[in-house]
Amino acid sequence: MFSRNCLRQASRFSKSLPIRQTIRRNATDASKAGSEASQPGLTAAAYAATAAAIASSGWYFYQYGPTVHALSPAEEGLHPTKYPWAHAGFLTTFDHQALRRGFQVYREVCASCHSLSRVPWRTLVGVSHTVDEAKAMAEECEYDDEPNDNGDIEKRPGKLSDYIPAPYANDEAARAANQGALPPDLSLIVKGRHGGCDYIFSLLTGYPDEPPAGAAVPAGLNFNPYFPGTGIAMARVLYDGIVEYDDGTPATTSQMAKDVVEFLNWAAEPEMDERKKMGMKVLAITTVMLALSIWVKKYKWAPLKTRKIVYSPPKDLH
Amino acid sequence: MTLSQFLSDIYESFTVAEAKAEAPPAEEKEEASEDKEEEKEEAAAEEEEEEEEPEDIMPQLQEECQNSKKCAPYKHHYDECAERVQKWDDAEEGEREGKRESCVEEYFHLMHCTGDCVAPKLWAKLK
Repeated sequence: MFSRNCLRQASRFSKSLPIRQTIRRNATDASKAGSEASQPGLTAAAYAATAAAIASSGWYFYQYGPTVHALSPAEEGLHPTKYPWAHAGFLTTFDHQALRRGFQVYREVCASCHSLSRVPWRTLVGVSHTVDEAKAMAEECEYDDEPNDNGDIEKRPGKLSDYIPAPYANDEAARAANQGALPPDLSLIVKGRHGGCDYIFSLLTGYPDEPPAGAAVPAGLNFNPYFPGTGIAMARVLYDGIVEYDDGTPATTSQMAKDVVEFLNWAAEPEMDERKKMGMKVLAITTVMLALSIWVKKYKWAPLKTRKIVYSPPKDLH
Repeated sequence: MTLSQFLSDIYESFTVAEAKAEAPPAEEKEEASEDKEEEKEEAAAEEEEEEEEPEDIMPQLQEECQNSKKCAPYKHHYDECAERVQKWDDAEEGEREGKRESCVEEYFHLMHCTGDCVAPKLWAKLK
């Protein structure tokens, strides 16, 4: 069988070879002959196709290429600079001295207009102040007491469980006192603004001495490049030496801004230090579990990997 | 956040030996007296400075950065724009050409460059 097949194939091969050669020859002849005739049309087609390709991609770019901005740069506001915050690292905590200074800045400067309504006095304990300090600060404020025997509500000094009092009774009172502008609550402001810490620091320190040439600043507003629209109702409040720090840090504008922003970040994320500690715990436990699992795997598989299955057929039967 | 910063954080976390919530009172007094002595010496030298309010370093850094090689072109653009606006303001009403220009965009570019330049320098100085 095998020898016959071989022979057949060999005979086919020998027969087909001259035929192929003739075909090739014919093809080359045809192309040579037809090249002069078909070339002008083909060239024209190539030029036309290229022109069409350029035109269509140009048309597409005209339609969809350039980005259309709904807002002018001034309306968008200047993007804040990225600052190397100490607490931004994976394993770094808040600078608690800065938190203490920042709370002082909030209390002496910001608190006259901005509330911090989600932060009770007790949360400061062990973070920036001692128990006694926090109690003393709480007692300086008055809160509504339980109704007395006549049903009247009297005032009582604050306790640790009370929330830091707001400067205005409600939003309408706040607007009325600030020419219609509502000073936002600062409890979650770092989470509630694009750029977070960077934005608030830039905003606080970004007030230029005078607005840039030609800038339109509406009456009652102040120019700040970082605020969307550049017209902000809040005037510059941080000036050098407006606060006197307990620890002797020079209270410059940028220092106060840095401290208060760090404090506001703590107010928005009081769990951050604990969260990062939890992350470290997770990593530590995971490494232990990994090591354990490798040892267990080795132990469980050792007998399976080292066993030998041997088939020894009964010799007597065959 | 860079890898080197992450590694240095890990190193720092190993080097924390002890953290006390409150300093022992006896030592505090000694420290306080030492501090006072130091303060007196410093006070003698810097009496004039202490009376003055602390001066912020940020405007100074900003000015240095605006004159640096990187931001100088933006400063140049802004100054030119401010000049044009000034010229427009100075001209009488009939002679003014077009609308009054706004230099906000030039100012943004300048402050963007300045901010990037100031940030690391400022953080090195602040506590």
